[in-house]
Amino acid sequence: MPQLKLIYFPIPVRAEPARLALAVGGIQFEDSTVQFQDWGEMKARVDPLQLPLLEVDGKTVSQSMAIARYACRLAKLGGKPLYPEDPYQALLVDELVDKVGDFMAPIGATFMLEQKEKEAKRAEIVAKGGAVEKWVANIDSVLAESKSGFAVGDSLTMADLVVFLCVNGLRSGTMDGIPKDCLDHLAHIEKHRVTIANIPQVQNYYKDKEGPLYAPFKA
Amino acid sequence: MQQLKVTYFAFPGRAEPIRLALGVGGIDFEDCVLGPEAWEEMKPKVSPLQLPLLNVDGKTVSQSIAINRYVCKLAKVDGNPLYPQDPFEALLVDELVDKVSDGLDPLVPTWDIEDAKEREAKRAELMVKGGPIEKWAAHIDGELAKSTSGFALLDQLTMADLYIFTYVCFFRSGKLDGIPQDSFDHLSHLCLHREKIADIPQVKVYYNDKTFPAYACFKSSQASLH
Repeated sequence: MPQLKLIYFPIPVRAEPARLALAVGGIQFEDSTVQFQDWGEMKARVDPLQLPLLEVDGKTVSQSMAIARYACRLAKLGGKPLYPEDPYQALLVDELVDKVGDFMAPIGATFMLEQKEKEAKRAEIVAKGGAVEKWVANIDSVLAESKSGFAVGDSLTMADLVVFLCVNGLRSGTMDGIPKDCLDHLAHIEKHRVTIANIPQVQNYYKDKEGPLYAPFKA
Repeated sequence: MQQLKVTYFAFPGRAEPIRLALGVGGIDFEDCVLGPEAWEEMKPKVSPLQLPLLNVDGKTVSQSIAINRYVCKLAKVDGNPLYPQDPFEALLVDELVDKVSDGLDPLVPTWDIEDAKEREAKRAELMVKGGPIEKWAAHIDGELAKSTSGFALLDQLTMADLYIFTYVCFFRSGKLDGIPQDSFDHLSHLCLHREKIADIPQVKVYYNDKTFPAYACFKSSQASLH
């Protein structure tokens, strides 16, 4: 197993799928956090680097989803890698992962807005039928069809981790204008969240994590 | 082998690396090209799905990079799959592909600018030295400079090369108002890379018969293969 060091801020968001995958797979890695006040100084030195970064035996790689996919290839649960070896199953995982990335992008854009506009825009996109809610509802219906309870196939994959992260971000109550109960009407989304949160390795990973960003991830 | 169908518009945009991978890999597929009327008809039915779409044995899948990664696992050139099986090599390809794919993002909002002068002005801003698209291209140029073989990664043709080639050619096509064909001429590694990929026999054959005007800059500058 290579020497791994994951570098990111002390928040879930872009590094979480990789961190979770490594934790679930029981893979040792250095979880190196950069405090926000230190990022400015680092960015001046290493432009155009963006976090998260993964060091693999000393070689530095960027791009959060590339890193997460790599971690998911290494990590296994119940003997099955979190990124399928079968190309078609992998395609379904990649499709869902990219879909989540696409539909969550408008939320990222709201951080730049002035307070009133920010809250109004966010309320619009998480309201029933709004740009984000309709996609999460779509995933809810996919989960409803799933015999295994997992998003793709019959075991835990990168797709489940990305959905788990997305849902918990929306439920955190840390984004003004997005109420904590915005997804409560989606029964299969909630069932999925509980399933993932209760995986022993996931539960253990979040055991000592404090603060409002991490609270929704706990079982 | 699965029955594959790719659905996209005629121009070489986000589906081009997919079509090219299947083409160079010698994999049969149905190339479903949507003209304006066909798209208007399709829009209400597939909303909110975005193109391109891949149909695999009757099941429809979206997301261009996901589709690309899949076809690059199936497609081989000179015995090597276009997407590596080794996890670390795959990580390097994924990293570069994600970086290259981001290059189109600043351009996307400009499609909605109705006034031609305003649209051209906005695009010129993106292309100016230090502008987001020029910076992106310069970064890719810098990555290519690290290679001794001329291929982007691993000294062989990969999905990353197809992305760089198709995206660079798309910007150089001369079909985007406000984006001149010589926009990246100052980036020597990008230019060399374009020549190298265009000259690969399977790539040359693939573009040989393409008559849609935007494909002109994808063709090899050497004599065509007949």
